Amino acid sequence: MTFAIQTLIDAISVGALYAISALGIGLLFGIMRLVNFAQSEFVTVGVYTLMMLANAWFPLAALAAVVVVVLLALTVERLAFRPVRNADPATLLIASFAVSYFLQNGLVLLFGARPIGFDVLPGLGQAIQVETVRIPLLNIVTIAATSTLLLGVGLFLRLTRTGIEMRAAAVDFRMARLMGVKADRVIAVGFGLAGIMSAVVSILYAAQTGTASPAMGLQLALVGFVATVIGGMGNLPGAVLGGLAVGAISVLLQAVLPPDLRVFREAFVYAAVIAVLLLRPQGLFRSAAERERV
Amino acid sequence: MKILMLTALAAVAVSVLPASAQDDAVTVGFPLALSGFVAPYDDGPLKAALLAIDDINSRGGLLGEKIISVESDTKSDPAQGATAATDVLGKAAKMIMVTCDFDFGAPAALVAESQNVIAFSSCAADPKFGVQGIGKNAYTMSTASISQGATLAEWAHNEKGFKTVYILKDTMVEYTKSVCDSFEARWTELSSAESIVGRDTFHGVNDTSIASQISRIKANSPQPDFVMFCGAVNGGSAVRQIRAAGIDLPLLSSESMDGAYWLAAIPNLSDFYVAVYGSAFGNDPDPKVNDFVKSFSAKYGVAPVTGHALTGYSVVEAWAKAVERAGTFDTDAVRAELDKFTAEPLMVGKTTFTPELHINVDRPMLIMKIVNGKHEPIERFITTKLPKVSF
Amino acid sequence: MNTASQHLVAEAISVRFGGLEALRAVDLAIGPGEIVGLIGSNGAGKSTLINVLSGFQRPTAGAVKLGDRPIGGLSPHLVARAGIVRTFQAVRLFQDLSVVNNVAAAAAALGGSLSTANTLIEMLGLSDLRDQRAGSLSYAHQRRLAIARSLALKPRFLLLDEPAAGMTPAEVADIKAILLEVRENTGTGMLLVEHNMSLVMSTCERLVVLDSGRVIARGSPQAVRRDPAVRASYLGEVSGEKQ
Repeated sequence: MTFAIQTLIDAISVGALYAISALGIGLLFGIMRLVNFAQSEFVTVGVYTLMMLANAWFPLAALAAVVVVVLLALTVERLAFRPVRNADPATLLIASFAVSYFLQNGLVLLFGARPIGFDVLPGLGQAIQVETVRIPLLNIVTIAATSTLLLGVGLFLRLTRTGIEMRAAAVDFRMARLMGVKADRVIAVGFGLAGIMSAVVSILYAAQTGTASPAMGLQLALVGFVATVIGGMGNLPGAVLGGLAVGAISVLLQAVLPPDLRVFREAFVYAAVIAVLLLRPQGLFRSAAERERV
Repeated sequence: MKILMLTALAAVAVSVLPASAQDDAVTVGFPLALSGFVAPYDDGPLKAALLAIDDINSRGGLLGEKIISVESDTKSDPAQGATAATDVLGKAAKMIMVTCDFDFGAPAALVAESQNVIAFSSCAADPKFGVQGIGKNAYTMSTASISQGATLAEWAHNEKGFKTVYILKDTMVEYTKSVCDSFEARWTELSSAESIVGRDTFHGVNDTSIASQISRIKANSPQPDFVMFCGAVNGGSAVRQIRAAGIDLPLLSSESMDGAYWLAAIPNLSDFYVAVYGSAFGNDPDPKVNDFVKSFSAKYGVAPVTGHALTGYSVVEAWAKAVERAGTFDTDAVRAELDKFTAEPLMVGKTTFTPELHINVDRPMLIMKIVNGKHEPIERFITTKLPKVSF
Repeated sequence: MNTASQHLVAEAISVRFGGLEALRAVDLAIGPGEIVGLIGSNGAGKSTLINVLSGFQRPTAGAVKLGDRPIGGLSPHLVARAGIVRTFQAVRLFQDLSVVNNVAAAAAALGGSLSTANTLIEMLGLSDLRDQRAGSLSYAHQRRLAIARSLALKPRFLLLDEPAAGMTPAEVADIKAILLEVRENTGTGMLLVEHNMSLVMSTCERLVVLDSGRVIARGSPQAVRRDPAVRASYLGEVSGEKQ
């Protein structure tokens, strides 16, 4: 019983991290049909920033991570994606691979490929004991941060002018432009938001792993992309639920599979993803009626 | 004045001419990952090998010839390994040292094999790196992964008196799988299958969290005496998560967890045991190793990150010994001498090669214990029952 | 800038796709507050002309001007910003957004407030549906919303591509009332491309008739209706085609 509850908490907290990742990927995909694999490096750069400031006052280090990652995201948008903005999605995808490769190798050049250990937020290693279940503070913080961020982004998209413009652009970018929505601004805000989300992921991830390594963000971006696909391309709540689902399913499979099959856990996860795509190509969380009109 | 400067420049130019241009010099080639993702694992062994060359040259060289080195970057790309090897062999390298990994080192070694030149991997721990997998000229200075696992099992059982174990295996690379599997085989012989109270796997790169694995250890009843932790890349992250979850069980691991670079993730880590080639921290029971660390630090300004550097030193050391005994640089003669090595006392430890086996299975490893974030040596140890080598 | 005197003018517009001549030397002018009908059979060039006026299609020859300002080379969103806004046959609403946010997204671009959006929704009779998802609206309501959204850009000229397609007679009557009210309130000039002849005849001051890319007639609805060329090429066909 304890194991079941503990596993459930693990599932939610791993899923939460994937959910933010997926939201960042989903947001940019919605607006400009860009699968931004460079988000992987947004997270990684955030972690390296925290590593360099491991001995600084934490709020300052966290703020620095947010600033650095947001600036990086805006720079990448301006220099790499704006020139190919109107290209087809395949070109955009390749551009994002190029950016990702460039940034990753830049990190290798600056810091070497060997993982670097550091310690941030050691306090989060402590846990709250509820009956027999031990809930690490980090899990609670992860879930709280994710909820806050999702709520914040949700409110931003619903209530602010820019948010409404972004949602319009996500549905039909060309039409939104025709309706006067300024492409540069909406896309820049999108990258800025993706940057903030990546920075939050990097803070949580750094607290969890205490390790900076150049390719560490890759898995998060990959899962974020998969989550976006199963959630329904361009459907933001779907992407979030998709992220949560992929994380939770991974953890649950790891918990219930017999030892010999655990090695193939990822294969099971991706088999489930393929099944989703075959049975519901529009994504799990998008109704058939909605799709009909597209 | 101008002419003087030109002359000086010309003199410099002559002195840096490639090895092949000098008659009284012999060349050793290093087609290694000088950049990219594998670079950190070649860096220490390369620097140590260059140190070994310095040491030999300061004693008058090899067969009266000065050893010089040529390097070529594989850029951490196995496909570039062959190109890099061709490059250094084209500069008349008489021996090459390749990357510390079977997959990354083999392409270069295969090129050397085709030109009948000896190729040493510094620390590829897969027995395939040798006669059976590459050819008669391929050697590795490592201790085989299967020996490492068996050694840790026997040490934990006989020396520590541990009764029960939980096995946590990183499935990303062959090395850690091999260490854990050989551990399990030897442990079962010494104790019983029942004393393995639990086992689980994780993936060093794909698993962003090992929360699930940790919950399983915690829920395991009874709690084991220790955890056999076969981790490598990002192992520090896994250890941080384990300790953060309040699991204070002793952890045992192999040389892939050598080094202090990851320790900052777990301040004051204790009760962590690691079997290494030798201490990179200047406190090895063998003073020769400490002298090596000292001269390494003197030459490069920093101590070696891990004990793997010793393998690089011993690659040059072993080849030079064999050359001296053979009295020639001729590959066939040198190989014959290498294959006669029996408990040869090298920097990295006692080393044995036979015409069939070009990897060490019976070289003692140094067991170190991490106490409050500091490595303390315990003893050198090797399993008494050598594992059966399969290729 | 004296907007009242600014006409939207197309001068001698020709469009060729390879050997195919979609438009040949078409002239068209719309004054502020004027509703001009553009009719013609399928393939006559109506859509091509709307595309040219809205910047989606660059003419092979000829010029588009807003007053004295040439706007022929501008991309669609800049044409829209200059005050020439179009609707689409396919409507193209922001399906996932609510009714009010569809209008607000466009209003925001001009610095308009939410109350601007609310006013427009009220004008188009969509107040009761304010918070519904645009994608869930009936077909007629979707077309009205498209007009409301276009009006949020405060256009000087509105190019309406079949705004009454698929509507019941009652809904068509509503659309007509709305268009007239919009003109009354805002002085927006309109180009109405429409197959529904009763709407065109009763709403437009002037008609332009296209056939095979050429203007075959222009003038008041009454004059056009009597034109023998039009009767031969178009009206007969329409009365046969539409019930």
